[in-house]
Parts: sequence; structure tokens; C-alpha cells
Amino acid sequence: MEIEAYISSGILEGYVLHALSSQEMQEVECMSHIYPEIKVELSKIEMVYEQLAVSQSKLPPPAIKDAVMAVINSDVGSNPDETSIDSEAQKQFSDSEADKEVKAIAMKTTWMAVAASVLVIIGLSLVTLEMRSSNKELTKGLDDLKTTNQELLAKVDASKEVQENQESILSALAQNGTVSISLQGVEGKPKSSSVTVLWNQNNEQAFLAMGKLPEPPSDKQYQLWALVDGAPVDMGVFDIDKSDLQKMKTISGAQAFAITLEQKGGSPSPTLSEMYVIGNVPS
Amino acid sequence: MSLKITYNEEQLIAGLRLQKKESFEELYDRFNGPVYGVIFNILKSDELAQDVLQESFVKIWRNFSKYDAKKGSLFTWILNVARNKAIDKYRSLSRKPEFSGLSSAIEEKPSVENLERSVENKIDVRYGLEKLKEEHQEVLNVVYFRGCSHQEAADELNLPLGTVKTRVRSALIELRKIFSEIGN
Repeated sequence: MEIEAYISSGILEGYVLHALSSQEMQEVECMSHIYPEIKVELSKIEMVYEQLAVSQSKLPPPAIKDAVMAVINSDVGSNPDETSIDSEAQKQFSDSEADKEVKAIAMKTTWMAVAASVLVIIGLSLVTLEMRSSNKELTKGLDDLKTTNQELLAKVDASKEVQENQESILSALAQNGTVSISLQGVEGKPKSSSVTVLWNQNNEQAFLAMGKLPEPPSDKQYQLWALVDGAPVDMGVFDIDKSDLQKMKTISGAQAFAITLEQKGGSPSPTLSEMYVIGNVPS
Repeated sequence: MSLKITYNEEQLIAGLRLQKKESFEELYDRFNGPVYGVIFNILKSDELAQDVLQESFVKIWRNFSKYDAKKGSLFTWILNVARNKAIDKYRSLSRKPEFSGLSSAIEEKPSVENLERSVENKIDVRYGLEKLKEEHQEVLNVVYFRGCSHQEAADELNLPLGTVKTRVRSALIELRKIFSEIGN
């Protein structure tokens, strides 16, 4: 399971111990909202982190508490009238920062709501005027909106797909045992050609990351091969216009990967004269 | 031993958000031992550790609005405030070798071997860290006590990044087993 791999990578321990970059921290927070297993694992790690601290317990001199409380008292006591108010009232009339913030946000929201309703009223009256003057224009406007809406929905679907793909990339990259194999141009083919294969030797999954390959003729397609004990094994065909990782077939025992140009749909065995790139699996 | 929470953490957090000093006093009473212990093991000096302990608790009091209960537990949060302060102090001092009088304190690098055994500590988990394998102690020294990121640890220990991450994880999993054994 992808989540188990993400957890096994040790990134969550890094989060609790503050050993991550801020980008990685955001990634963990994001993942923990999506996957409850991650929240569970984070609590387990926090528990041992806390036990570790308790195991180092050392009592400081009592004077430290006095010093700390003196600062606290001076912070609280800066408004002497407050200390005599009881806690219930304090809740109502509290000047604490949190309450100030909440009040400010509430006020802002109220003003925003008022402003928004004013705008709606103005907008409605404008629309009414427009309606009276040109009904045809409105209908056209509505149609335009519908098209835009459909385009937006399509974009949302597309970005959902991108997000799902990104999540599988994340887990592919996070997994232990993933090696990166760089496939470079061969003799007689463009030197600038390059493709990267990410292959996990544990779960046998393979992903292809497009680098650069020449545009194939419309009746041909690139095919990935794995070399196992010297013999080529089909890993599937792919397109060069995809910018995300493409999942290929699974393979074990690959010593190298290569790409040839075949008829559209692929070929049972590679056309060696049409090999474009090749790369060895690091040992 | 167990960290079973007998006090009402929600109430404590609510009180802290309202800047109630009784809540803060409760927080200090409950957590000053472990927090001081961690700071001390990073700085190896009572004088330095006491300063940082004081600064940490004041920071916790003044910045409590920054605590997000959704992102983690209260205890872990305050430990990290303290640990970060201690590590910052350690790093700033180790850049100034002319800091005479305290140089002997900072020369002794924080490590598992140098952990002080506190006589006040009734809980016999102080040997937890020493029971770990060499390779686990090594990564914890660098990541936990010296506050290095995974990448910094990998560079310093000359290990692949992935290895550092999984070793830290193994170390904590081992510690979990050690602590639960002691509890029985």
C-alpha cells in the first residue's frame, strides 16, 4: 500500500523531530489531512518523543519558576483592572489577543457581508436594466457562462487527475528500493534524447519520466523494454507529450532499460535499429 | 511508566488561550522536569539550561496562539519550542569560541553517552537511549540533540538521505519497545 511506504520512509518521524524542510512539513500536513493512518502514526511518534523527554527529566531550581511567573504576572498585571474581574466576566470582556482577533475577524466578516449584499443589490438592478434593454445579449451572455462553466469543470477534472497522479508520484518516490535509471541517446540517434525510469526493486513497479525524444511519425510509437538476463522484456508503449510520470508494466531482475520506436501499439520484440535510448541499472 | 493523561488537556489549552496564569502555572508544574532535562542534555550546563528554560516558558506563554491542536499534541509542541531554543543557543555559542568560562560546557558535545543520570528521576527509563544500537544512537545524537535536519545529518554522517530517515524511524520504534518493556 502506498501509504505504508510513505510512513516507512521515516518522513513522519522527521516531522515530529523538526528535521524536515518547510516544504516537506507542508507535505506531511497535507497528507495527514487526506490519510487518517498518517494522523494515527504521528500520534504514536509523538508519544515516544514525549516518553523520551520524560526519561531525561531533571528538576530545575525553584527560583526558575519564580522568575517565569514574575514575567507572566507582569504581562497579566499590565492592566490592573482585569485581575479583579471574575473569570466568567473575563470571558465576556476579555481583552486577550485571541478575543481581539476573533472580534476583528467578526467585524470584517460583517462588513464584507454588508458590502457583498450591497454589490448584489447594485448588480441586480443593473441586470434588470440590461434585461429591459437587450434580452438577446443576456441570452448570449448566459450561453457564454455555460461554456465557461463546462470548461472550468473540465479543468477541475483535469487537475484532480493531476493531483492523483502527483500523489502516486509522491509515494513512488518515497518508497524504499526505488532506483532512478537515466536512459541516454545511442549512436546514430539524437544525443539530446533522454528519459528517466524510476524502478522499485521491492515492489517491481516502474514509472517513466519523459525527458526528450524526437516526435514520432503518426503510425509509430515508442516502446519501453527491460533487459533481463540479456533478453528484452516488453514494458509497454507510451506517448511523449505527457509531462507526468507514466506507470509502465512491472518487472523484476532488470539490468537495463531501453526504448525503441515501433509500430503504433508496440511490437512483441524490439527493432534494434530503432533503439533511441538505453541505460543500465546501477548495481 | 505511562503518559496517561489524568488532567484535562482541553481545559488546560482553553485556559492558556485565555492567558490565564493559573493554567500556565499548571503547565509549568507539569512539564518543567522533562523540558529542563532535554534542554540540559543539549547544552550540558545548568546555567545555560536555566536561562533557556526560562526563555522557553515565557515564549510558550506569549506565543500560545501559535499552538495548533490539529497539528500535534501540546507536550510535543512545548518540547519543540524548548528544543529549538536550546539548539539555537548551542549553535550560537559554538560559533564563538572566545566565550570564556562557558567554552568548557559547549566543548562537550551532547550525545547519548554524556547523558546525565538524574537522581531525582524515579522513572527508570533513563537507560532507554543507551540500549539502542550504535547506528541508532548516532543518528539521534545528530538529529535529536543537535537539531540537524535529515539532509544535514546525511551530509555530516556521510550516509544516504534515505538511510538517515529510516534509521531515525527504527531508533524511535526501538525506543517505543524499550519504554513499554520498562513499563511492565
